[in-house]
Amino acid sequence: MTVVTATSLDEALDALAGDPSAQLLAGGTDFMVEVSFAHRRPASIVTLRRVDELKGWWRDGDTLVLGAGMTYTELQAEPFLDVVPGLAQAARTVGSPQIRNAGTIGGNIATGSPAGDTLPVLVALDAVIVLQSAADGERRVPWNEFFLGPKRTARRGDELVTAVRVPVVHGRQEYLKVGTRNAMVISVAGVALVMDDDAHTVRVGLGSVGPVPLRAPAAEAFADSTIDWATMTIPDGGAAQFGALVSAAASPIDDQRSTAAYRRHAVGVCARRALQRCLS
Amino acid sequence: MSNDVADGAAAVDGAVLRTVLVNGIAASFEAPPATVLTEVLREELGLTGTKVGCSAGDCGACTVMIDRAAVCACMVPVGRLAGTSITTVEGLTGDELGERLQASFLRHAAAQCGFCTPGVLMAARALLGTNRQPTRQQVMDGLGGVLCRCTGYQAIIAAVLDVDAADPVTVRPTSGKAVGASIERVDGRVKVAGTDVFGDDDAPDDALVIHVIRSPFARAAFTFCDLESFVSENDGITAVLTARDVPGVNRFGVIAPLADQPVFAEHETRFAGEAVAAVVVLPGFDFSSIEFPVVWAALNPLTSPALALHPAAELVHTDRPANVLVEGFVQTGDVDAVMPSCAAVASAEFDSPFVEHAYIEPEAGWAEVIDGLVVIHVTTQSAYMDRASMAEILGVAEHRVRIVPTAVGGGFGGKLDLSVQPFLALAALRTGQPVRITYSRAESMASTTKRHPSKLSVSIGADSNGRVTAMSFEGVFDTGAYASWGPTVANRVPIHASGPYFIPNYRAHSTAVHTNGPPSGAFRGFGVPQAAIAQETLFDELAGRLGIDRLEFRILNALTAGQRTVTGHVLEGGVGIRDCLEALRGPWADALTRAQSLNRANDRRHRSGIGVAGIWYGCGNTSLSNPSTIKVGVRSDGSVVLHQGAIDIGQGSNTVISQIVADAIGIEVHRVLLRSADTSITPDAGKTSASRQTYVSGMAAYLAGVSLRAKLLAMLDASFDSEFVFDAGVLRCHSDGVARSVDLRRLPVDADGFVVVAVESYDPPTTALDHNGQGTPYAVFGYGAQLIELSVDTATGRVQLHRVVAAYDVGKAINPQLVVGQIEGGIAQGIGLALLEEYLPGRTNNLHDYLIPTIGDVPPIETIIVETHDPVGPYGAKGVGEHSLIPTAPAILNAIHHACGIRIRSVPATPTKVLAAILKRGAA
Repeated sequence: MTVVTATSLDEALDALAGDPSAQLLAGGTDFMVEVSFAHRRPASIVTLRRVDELKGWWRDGDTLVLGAGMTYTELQAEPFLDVVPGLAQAARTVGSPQIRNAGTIGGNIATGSPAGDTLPVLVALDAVIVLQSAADGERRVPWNEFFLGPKRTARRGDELVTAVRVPVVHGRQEYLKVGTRNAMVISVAGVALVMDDDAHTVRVGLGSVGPVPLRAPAAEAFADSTIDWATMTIPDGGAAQFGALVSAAASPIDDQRSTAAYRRHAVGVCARRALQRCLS
Repeated sequence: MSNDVADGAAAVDGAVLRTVLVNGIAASFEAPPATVLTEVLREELGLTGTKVGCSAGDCGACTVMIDRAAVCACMVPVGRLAGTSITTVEGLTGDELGERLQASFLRHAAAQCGFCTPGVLMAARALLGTNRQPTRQQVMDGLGGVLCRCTGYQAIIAAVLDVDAADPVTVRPTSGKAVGASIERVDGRVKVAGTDVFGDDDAPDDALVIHVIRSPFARAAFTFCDLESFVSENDGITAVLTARDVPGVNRFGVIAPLADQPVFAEHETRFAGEAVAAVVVLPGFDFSSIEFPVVWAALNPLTSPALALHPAAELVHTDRPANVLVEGFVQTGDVDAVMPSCAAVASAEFDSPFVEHAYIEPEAGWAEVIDGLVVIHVTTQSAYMDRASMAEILGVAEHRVRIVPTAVGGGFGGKLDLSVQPFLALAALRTGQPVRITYSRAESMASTTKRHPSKLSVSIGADSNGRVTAMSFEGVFDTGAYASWGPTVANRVPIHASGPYFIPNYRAHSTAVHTNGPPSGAFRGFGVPQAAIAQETLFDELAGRLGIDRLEFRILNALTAGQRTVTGHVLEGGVGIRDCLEALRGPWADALTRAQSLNRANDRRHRSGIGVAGIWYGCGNTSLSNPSTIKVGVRSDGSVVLHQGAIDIGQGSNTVISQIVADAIGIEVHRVLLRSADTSITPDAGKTSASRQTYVSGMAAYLAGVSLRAKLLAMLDASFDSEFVFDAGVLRCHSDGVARSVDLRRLPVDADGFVVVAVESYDPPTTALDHNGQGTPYAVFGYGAQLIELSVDTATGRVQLHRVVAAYDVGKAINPQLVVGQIEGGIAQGIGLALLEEYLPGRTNNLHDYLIPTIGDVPPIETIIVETHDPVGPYGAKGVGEHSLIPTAPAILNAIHHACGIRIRSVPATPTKVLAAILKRGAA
């Protein structure tokens, strides 16, 4: 096993160009488990923790650019609580303090697990994933072209997820998930809801109810047209109908954590509650 | 570019010399960059306070601070450490806040087994570093990443909140006052320091490492390829062991006549995870990429008792017809005659899954052979039984085997059976070198025993006055591939299925059925928790039908002294169930009012409910001899040494036995020096199971203490009630106005270094049960009842617990704080049984798919200790270890029904199941 400890973005990209099959290692919360359980014996690893270009965040006009190396602990605090509250809430629900101190948003994106907690928020925000490679430089991929299947993404082996771009949206945001426990909760179903008070739109992202994080276009269209944007209210039964439309958008499976029927129901409940909270 | 070489100095065989700051000291080691920090801390730097519980970030036992932030060291590759500062539990010494935390953990008995304690302490230290005065909720958030299976978390929360206690009190009872005092655990300091030695903590550096080859299939035939070339062609491999290498009997089992489990399967495996071979490798050798030469042929497994009981089913063991291991039966009165005339009858079927013990310490140990004596250091609950089994397996006399129990990082029944012991002994004998093994979490979960899955069919009838008059119970228990403690479950359940109530007409039958599941064995409660779910929820249904308050219904039917139990046993005294239930009357009324007002105030989605359940539990083996022997002696310098072999798995026997013996002798408990279990030193105090240590070993300790006192006073020619002191090497007393003394230094010294010694045994007075299960199965029963307040989110099926009130009759609380700890810990496991835990063989061999309660899942617990003096136990004491778990699940299920009208009869009541029941009820 060769390990390259990259200390700059160029070093990381060069290493990946040299060996596109290399395993990337950032927070280690997914990958080190696989190493310990000997599920994977990668021939080479590129570690990213010391790549400063992946750390931090900045504003690019109305877009927030979050470095892939940002940890959940960073994301759950200010200024993100104000600027992207849905993402901060999602980060707050990841694992435990120990996991949040180590795990990164770039890892969540690149791993592409359907249960990844930040992903519903990113898809609701119409996030754009920023990839870089030594050969082609920067490539920006919209979320819906990036997540291809369970733990399958559009990232090429020689590419690195360097950042994620999300718009700064004026309006309430919520992330709600259902799991079985009250701490270290693994999402059985999750919903991110983003209200755009300027554009008068609602966008909703769904987690753990499909092979990839999903949107619920019919539910969004229903909400856009049903909400009274002047008073920020929805007629009686509107939130429930929104929830039902979100349920209909889900395509969940049975596994040891729950059933497809439960996930479909629960994602609708989360959506209804998220909307009610945003309108309260 | 920075590769392997850039991090430190020169590469050495792929490893790099690294220097990191650990606890403020620069530490150097060689390791490849993907090596995990836990391995470096434990194996290279000798900092074994950092524990490994899962290697997946699920348990948090390995929590350390990197630059003041808590992380799981099991997920940190050492390549990322350059320029960081690491703090481990060892670094809390000398850190003012760290030492305050440790002291607070001791005061609150926040460490039981102590295995998760370093991780909890480090998570707490990191929290306090950023938030010096956290709220209860902030403590729960900060510690949410560390699993504790012993304490139920309440003492931990209290300890963190109380870190700045202004004037902490140390309990130091005077002579004769130890019993009843909440003294600090005698083994507590090493646990909070991280220096207690567990199974994986003290193997010699040069110990060879054992890897076990296990069946990936529930049932499979297998053949080995060329094992000799496998060894000779791999430089790092020293030996391979298979069934052919077992010199004695390739069979073990906790109940000798039914011993059926091979160390290594011989032709066919009977469950997924069963061992077929062991490979002994050089330390540091990477075995993970080695392909072991075995060819598997999967066979059709029996995956449930229903399949196994089918007349055409193949036999798991050819000598056990119909796949039945054993049956249990208790009958009194005439159920068939009385049941039809009952005013109300409640009947239902219940089921429960495999449940995993999930102690945070995986099985581990090491062994060496010294002058022909096989010495096995191992985490175990039963040193002497281990020794007897190992002698059989090795084909040697028992005195050729020595079991040295390490500290035990939780057991709960799961470390009563052999696990690593045979592999260690066989490998040490084969190689002549020290050997070690530590199970991975997956291996521990796949290969060790589970709680029996159950399928119960139960009917209970009552008369119009609310008196329970008849009960029938039919239980089928999945005992898995091997006998283990299956007979104990099958025998204990029919005796206990009545609950702590007077039921004149009763019939209970149980069957333990073999399948190709993991062996079901002992798990806190031996089948009684499953039975209590049926009986206690049907009691609620009866009370409801008869229009009687659920608590009052139980009080009305509570067993009292002088009544016959279902085995015809008339308990003369110490029957405290009514006292426990009555103690809940006030909390019950308050809780009922609270639930009603919450339901008026809440939206209709969240419904509050309360539930209650009672239990009884017989302490010690069922109708079988289970003696304990305790030795205590005085050395020539006047020190008193207790040889107590009751293994402390966190429950506190080291402390409780010390308290009993101190009072019996008449000395201060702090003068008692402890020698814990070791088959070459301490006499046999039996196994730590069946809630027997406080009672049985406690009685032996009491008798030994009294005997020693009598001997000392006889030497002084003083009366038994005289007070004496050890004045260095001189024993002195004033009796009848005369000063008397004996110079201990002039007395002959025995092999243990004693000049005066007392050894006493105690065996509970029980009788065999007849063909109707009639007799005296236990000499002492303990009693308890729990009240649960919860709410159900009817839209998601999520159950939120708000409060538990537990009332327990422990006869006499030898150490009230440890009693509370047992109760809180049992409740946490009961919560897991009720709401979370279902072990699916092959699918949940980790702690993120198999979910145990976190700190967020256990609500505040209020414990009421009831002391209904027992005429048999030491100072009137009874056991409580298993009692604590049993009522939680039925009380929760009863509260769920009270909240939203659904009856869950299949645990765990996951959100998925609860919601399905709510939707079904809504549709009906």
